[in-house]
Amino acid sequence: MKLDFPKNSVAYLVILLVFLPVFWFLFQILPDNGINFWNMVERLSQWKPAFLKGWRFVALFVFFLTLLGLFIFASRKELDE
Amino acid sequence: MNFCQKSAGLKIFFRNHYLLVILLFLTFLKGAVWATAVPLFQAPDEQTHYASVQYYAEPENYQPKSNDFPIGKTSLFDIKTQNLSPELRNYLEKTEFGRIRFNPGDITKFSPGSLWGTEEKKVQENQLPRFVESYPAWFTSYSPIYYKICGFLENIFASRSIIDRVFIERLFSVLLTTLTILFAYFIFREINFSKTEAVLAAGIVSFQPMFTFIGASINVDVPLFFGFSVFLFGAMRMLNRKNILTSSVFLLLGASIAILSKPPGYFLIPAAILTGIFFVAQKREKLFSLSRKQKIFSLSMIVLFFAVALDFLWKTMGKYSFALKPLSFYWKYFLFQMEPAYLLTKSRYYWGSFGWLDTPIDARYIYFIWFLLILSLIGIIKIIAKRRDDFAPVLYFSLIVSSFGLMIHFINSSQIPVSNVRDLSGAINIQGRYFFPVIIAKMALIIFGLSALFPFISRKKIIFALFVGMVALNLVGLFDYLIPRFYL
Repeated sequence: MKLDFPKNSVAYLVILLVFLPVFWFLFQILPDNGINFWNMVERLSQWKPAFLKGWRFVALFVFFLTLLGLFIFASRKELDE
Repeated sequence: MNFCQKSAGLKIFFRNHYLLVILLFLTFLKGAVWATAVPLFQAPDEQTHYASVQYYAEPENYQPKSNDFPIGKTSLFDIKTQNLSPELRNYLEKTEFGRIRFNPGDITKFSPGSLWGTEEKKVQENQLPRFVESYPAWFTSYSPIYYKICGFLENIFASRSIIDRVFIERLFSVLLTTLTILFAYFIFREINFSKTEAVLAAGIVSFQPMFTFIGASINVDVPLFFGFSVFLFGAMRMLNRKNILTSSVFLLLGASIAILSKPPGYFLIPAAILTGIFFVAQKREKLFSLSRKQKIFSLSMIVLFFAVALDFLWKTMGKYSFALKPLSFYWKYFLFQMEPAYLLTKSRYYWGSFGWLDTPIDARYIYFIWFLLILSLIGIIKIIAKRRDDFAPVLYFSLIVSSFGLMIHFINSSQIPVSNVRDLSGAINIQGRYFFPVIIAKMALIIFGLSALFPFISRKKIIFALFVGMVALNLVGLFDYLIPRFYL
């Protein structure tokens, strides 16, 4: 599996564009509206399957976003070739 | 083949198809994330479908306590009138389902400083019966296959809480969606996309926000989408001179899955005829070059297919009334459907309107999508007018997408009174998910259209840009609409 990142800067711009909604979301939950990241995680964890409580829940989201980033890099690299 | 050879073969497969493997894994993971983020039963009709699952999970010798549940007063909007299991009713009451549904301003009351609110702890203890106590049970009249598979999972995990079980059944839907994406990849390969192009094009389908949302809920539409994808793959193989036997098997398998899922699956009967017409018109010499055995097999499969399909059609269509209305009604219906405000609402139902369709994405996203759709339409007209190389699949997909859309509109219009074209109270309404069975064909058309209109930009770049845009829209849907709607 080739994971050497593309030199083309477009790929990095793309990643930025794709993850803008995530950054925007993080801005929304800044402490000034009374909701910080961790009580946000608590809220999201409520009424969830027992096997997806707490850190597992965060891990699922983080793993998904990481793999998504890697996929975009890898496909961009393939298209460059 | 020994173990070393097998593992070497597997290695080569992964090296050649690693992007596809990642996409499928990503599709499943994305589905799991959405299934987690959407509160249980806050997807359209999910509690109805789950009630059907619980009904089909009942053991054969199950005896209800009574047979006196008042029928005839059921309302989709009032759960008090719905015959639900005590466990499901309790969950819906504890999570204030009725208050939160349709009301974007309302969210669950969260217990401060606790991951497990006291009410949630009680639900997780799993004390209440999971089957209805009084008959007649409330379940949907569609084919029971999907519900029976979910019911099987329901019984395997019977000792776990309703939250765990619903989530596991949602994951089954996600698995079916992942298989749909695999077939989307096969279809794009059949229309001469390179491996990377096909993976990214399948990714465009996978990340469509509303498709993701429905594909991560308990809904009988999910196997319908899968059936259509298998059918389209068979059709593309057939039109590509691939082995007619295996192509027919995929065609029939897809049509059977779709028909056994939901009535719109019957669309695949005329679609099969259309495929046959294309096949004969395009590859006449191939048809005559078949061996005698192949001809007999193909013919018997076709006869069997039509016999089964007509039998189902005969039994099912008797339940519905599809009488034609005066032409003036259809003109008024058309004008109503084309009103900009209503057009916007319907487009949001297709691209992103979460919860019980009460949380639509911003209109500006839709305006941008419309702009792209108009551009791709110009490109499609160009392809058809100039009869370019990709003329055949473009014409085929255009006919499939437009005739399927017409069928949904015909069903919808047949349920609207002639006197008032705006009275949607008894109609299925034009919901986006009704059009998802042909989403793969639609995305293919968008790609073809834009590629034809901008020949100076390589197709792979267009596909990559569309993929990136769809991923961004998916994350917008998840992080900027769905999560704030239910948790902030």
